[in-house]
Amino acid sequence: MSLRIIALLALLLVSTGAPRAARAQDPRLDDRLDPRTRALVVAVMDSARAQQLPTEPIARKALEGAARGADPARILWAVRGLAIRLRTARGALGARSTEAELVAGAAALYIGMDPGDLSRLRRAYPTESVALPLVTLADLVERGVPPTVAVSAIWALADARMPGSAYTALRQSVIQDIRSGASPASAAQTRLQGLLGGGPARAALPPP
Amino acid sequence: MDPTDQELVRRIREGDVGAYAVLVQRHHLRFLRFGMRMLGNRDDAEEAVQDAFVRAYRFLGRYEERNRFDAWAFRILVNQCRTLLAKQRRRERTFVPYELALEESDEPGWSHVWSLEVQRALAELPSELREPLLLKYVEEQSYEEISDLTGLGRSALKMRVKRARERLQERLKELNNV
Amino acid sequence: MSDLDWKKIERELRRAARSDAGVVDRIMAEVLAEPPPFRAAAVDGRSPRTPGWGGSNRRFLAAAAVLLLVLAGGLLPGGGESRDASTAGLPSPRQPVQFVLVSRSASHISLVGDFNGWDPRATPLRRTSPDGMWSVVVPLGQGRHQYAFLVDGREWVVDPSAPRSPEDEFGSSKSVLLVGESL
Repeated sequence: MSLRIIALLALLLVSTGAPRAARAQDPRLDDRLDPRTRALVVAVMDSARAQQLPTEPIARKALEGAARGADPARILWAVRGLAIRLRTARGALGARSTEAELVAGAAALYIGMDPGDLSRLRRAYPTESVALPLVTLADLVERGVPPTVAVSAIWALADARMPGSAYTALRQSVIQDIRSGASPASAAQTRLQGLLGGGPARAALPPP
Repeated sequence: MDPTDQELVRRIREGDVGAYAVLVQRHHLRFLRFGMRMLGNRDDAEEAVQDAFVRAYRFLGRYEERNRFDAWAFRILVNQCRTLLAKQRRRERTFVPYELALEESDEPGWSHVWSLEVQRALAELPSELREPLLLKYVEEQSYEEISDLTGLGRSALKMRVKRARERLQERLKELNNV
Repeated sequence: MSDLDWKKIERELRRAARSDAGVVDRIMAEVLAEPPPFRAAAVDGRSPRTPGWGGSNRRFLAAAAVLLLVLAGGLLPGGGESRDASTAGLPSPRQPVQFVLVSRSASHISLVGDFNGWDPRATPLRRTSPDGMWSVVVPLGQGRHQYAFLVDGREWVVDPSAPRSPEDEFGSSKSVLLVGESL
């Protein structure tokens, strides 16, 4: 990033009325980010705080960028994107959502879930946490289940108002099937059917 | 007066290889812009443009002078971009949208953050939507020309361009509200 | 969004690429290596060259293997129905987790993750055997953790034996570990 652009960012930060310094100084940021980047990250955190969004995930994202040697433009881009997703997740999940739910919701949005999907989950579980279904979704995708299949599976469990143990069972059995050689997509589909009682509860490939 | 593309091609055919540099100079920035918008980073875009110009030179025997040279070479570029996109997927490297935001900008202020957001929103479009959108609005090609390049019918293209435009607007609207 | 806004987007999309005199030179250097185009038949018949990938190849660490062991068994309480049981950052009993990376060439390896604020100084691995095994044990709370190894302060190495997050905003992946359930 050129100095000109960094200078421009810093200047704009001041001219647009953003806080010039961290309102709540975070020593981790002081230590690990250069002053200009820190000012920008703190501005995003202040903006998030003003909107009653959690700021710790934003700080962590910036620190992660610093650990990876990312340049200021990319760190700013990453934290701003996360702030947007946290806000979108809160809009979809409701103002009373917990930080854990918002973080899981933001991660789900990142991998392709729609805000409408989040709202649907909340409607299915109006008084319980939706963090577990969302973490299950992320985990399935990380293990190779195509996002569309994973989202459908989560929907199906949510629509059937399945308890948290069903998500854990789905995740564990899919992992087991993948290890036994099943394709992630078929493992997810087969195990989902089993859980919903619409098909065999057996593995996509029989375990040895 | 500058020689036309056709005149330059004739000179190359007569053995004046240096005339090709004039063609490259004349068209490479437009090609680079398309490559960067399609592929999301300058390295891959330069590779696509370089390969396109080398291939165009190699196959200049097939070029017919009644057609525009740049349109003919651009078709090669579109194909090179598709090939590179497939490679990006294989090596799990996707967009690096921020690189474009570090390009010089004509506008003062947050324009580079805006550039970043536009490129990011563009990156989120599937390439099947991104390509016709860029051909229509950046390259200002007619639906007939795009149809010729993509093999898709006019109505399917119109739908894709419309969807791409709507998605881009929607995404940027969200970003601007933060 | 109004048409005016679309004009703004369109203007950005059409913004010219930055000029770089070197680009034309590089293209012409490749072109000049080609035979003249009008020995047409012979030229057309040959197979296309593989495009050069220049500096874009990733350099992989010569790690022989990476092991991740969750030492404590049976970590999962009940059925995962508790309200916040599923994510990191919540008070919960900590469990020791051993991270192992094998690298003969590294002179320093640290573990970075959401559990230590991605701080490269916080959790160095110790070389535990002359054949390049490095390890560290970290107590982790129940939940989903993201991490990676930082080799010699600059090389980001994900754990090939653990699931990976999708490519993130920084252009690569992280490893993912769920503590509280058997892996």
